[in-house]
Amino acid sequence: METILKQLLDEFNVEQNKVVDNTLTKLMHNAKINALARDINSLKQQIIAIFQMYREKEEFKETQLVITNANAKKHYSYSFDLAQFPNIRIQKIKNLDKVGLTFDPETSSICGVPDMALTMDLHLVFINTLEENPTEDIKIIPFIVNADPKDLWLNKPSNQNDLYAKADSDKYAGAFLDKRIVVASQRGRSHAHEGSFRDDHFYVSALPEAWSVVAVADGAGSAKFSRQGSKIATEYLVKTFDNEVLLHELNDLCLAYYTTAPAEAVPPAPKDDQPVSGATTNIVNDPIEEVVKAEMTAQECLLKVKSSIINILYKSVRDVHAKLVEFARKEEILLKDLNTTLIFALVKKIDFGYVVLTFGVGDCPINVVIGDLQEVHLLNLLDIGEFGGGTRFITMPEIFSHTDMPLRFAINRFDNFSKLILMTDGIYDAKFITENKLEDKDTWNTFLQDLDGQNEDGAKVDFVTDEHIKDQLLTWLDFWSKGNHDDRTLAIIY
Amino acid sequence: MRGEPIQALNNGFNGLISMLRTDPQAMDSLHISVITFDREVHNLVPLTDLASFQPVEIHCPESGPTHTGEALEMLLKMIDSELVKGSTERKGDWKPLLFVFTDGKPSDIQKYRMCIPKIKAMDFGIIVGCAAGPKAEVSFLKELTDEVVKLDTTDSNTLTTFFRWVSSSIEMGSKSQGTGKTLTLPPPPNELNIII
Repeated sequence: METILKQLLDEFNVEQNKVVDNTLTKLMHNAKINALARDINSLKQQIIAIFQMYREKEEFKETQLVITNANAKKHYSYSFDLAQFPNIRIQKIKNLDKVGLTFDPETSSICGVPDMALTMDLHLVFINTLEENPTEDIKIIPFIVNADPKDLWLNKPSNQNDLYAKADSDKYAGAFLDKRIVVASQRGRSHAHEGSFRDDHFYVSALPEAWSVVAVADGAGSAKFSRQGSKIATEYLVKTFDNEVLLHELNDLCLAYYTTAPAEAVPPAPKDDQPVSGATTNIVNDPIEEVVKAEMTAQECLLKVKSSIINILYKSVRDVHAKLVEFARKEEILLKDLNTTLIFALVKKIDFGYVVLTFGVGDCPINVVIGDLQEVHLLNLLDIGEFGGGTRFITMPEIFSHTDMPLRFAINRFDNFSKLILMTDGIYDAKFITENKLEDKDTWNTFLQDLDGQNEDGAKVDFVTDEHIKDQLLTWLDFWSKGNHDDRTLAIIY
Repeated sequence: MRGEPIQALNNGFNGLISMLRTDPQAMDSLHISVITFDREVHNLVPLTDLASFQPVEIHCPESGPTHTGEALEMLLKMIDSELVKGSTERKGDWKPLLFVFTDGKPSDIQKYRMCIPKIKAMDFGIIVGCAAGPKAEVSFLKELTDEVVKLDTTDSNTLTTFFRWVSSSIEMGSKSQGTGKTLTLPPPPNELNIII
């Protein structure tokens, strides 16, 4: 009461003196003054309440509200947390219907399935519920609807007039020894998006002396002319084996390898269809005992045969490298412009099963499936770096001097097999993901079922009635896998 | 940096994000982490996938030191804990790409130099230094990487061009390559001066 009077006197420039003080003392108990003062206080309260109401609105407008991004074609829901603004009520959101979303003011939440990608400003129309006659205000917040990545991919044809042009897809079906082979190769979405070439390549051929070969290569995405590198690598590799004398020698060596092998020389408890890994096993330590001398000789003999086989394969691989070096020199391009991985399987049917000789550099696996998935084996060494996409190439001279070179070759014999599969990392990354899954029967079971049509597209590769098998495989290769859009090549001997 | 340059940087950076959003490969795989450094070093945006990334506003104090070294130190710690390396059981991330954008020079030069060999040992796909504006010193960035771009001005045209180039460089980061090899950057547009 006294404060109000003093403030009032200040406001009216009434100087303080004895008379004024006396007047004040008298008025302190004046009923009319007291009533008026109460009114003033009450009016002030009303003003401050209105102020607070408006302030809450302004604060709400200024607060940074982060609303999670939506994704086109995917269900979206978001609830505004208004705990900080108990009296604010969002009435409606303008612009939201543009993307097919709705807003429920009761729950302050947005939901629905946005139908397209958009970056826009949402206009939140809100009121303060304490207001007698609420006035609407607008808060603007940015809102992002991401595109469905599937809609972002373009499919630009590659320029067939360019240097080393290559078809965007390729397919093949035919005989492979007494079995059949189907291969399909599809340009990856990442390449189709830019109109660049397929970098994968494959080559299949029957050879003299009843051998057959399939080679698959994956040109490096980072290399300018890797499409040509993979073509040369596969085609030239096959050419190096198209040599009757060489294959005759290889026949003899393989026969010798599998007939002269003493029982002890193959890995413990050898089962006929168990892979005898090429160059690593059977390397004996120094035997001291006289007793093992005879066996030692047999083992030495075996080792000699084995190294002769591997040397033949090694020479072919070396020739492929030399061919690439020569090509680069002739074309005045860098060798690394041709960077490509290479895997191959050189196979022959003999009296006691199939001899499968394999080699691999890079991150493309060769697998054999025995029977109804009784066994599955990875036949080659994979070069998978710590980082995505990191690998080694046939174009790298250093692989030839590296101690792991012999490990890249494998000599195997199987009584029979139901499938021999070569794939590029475009398949492996999407379907097997990590190296340890390449010998995991469950993963393989899923993979084989996937080929059999158990996938969202219902794409089936029919190995029984195989009239259209190469087209079916090419269609199957078009599967969707988040983050995996590399070229895909899959070769299956069945 | 303040006034038009910082505004242009924010627009340019958010423009970069919008550009990347239209790239399906980036939408599938790219994650972004933003560290700002002045007197203080902040991880303004922790590692976030592109689809969830929200527009950001970078603020700069009017004056004061530039703690580039401390920023690198924070980066080293984050890489250690956030980067997934491949093994036979786990798919590895793509190589990380580092872009260092500054309009000045490191004030904590000792710490900066201590971090450089560690950063280099981290096996980044690329490290790009960008010296923006007249006061930016190129020589310090050259100690960190060979790929240094100088922007003479920091107007929005130049920054947009720069970020467009950054975007195409990022797209190079998801291609198969030899282990231990670094990426070849796409040629920069004329507005950017590559420092040799």
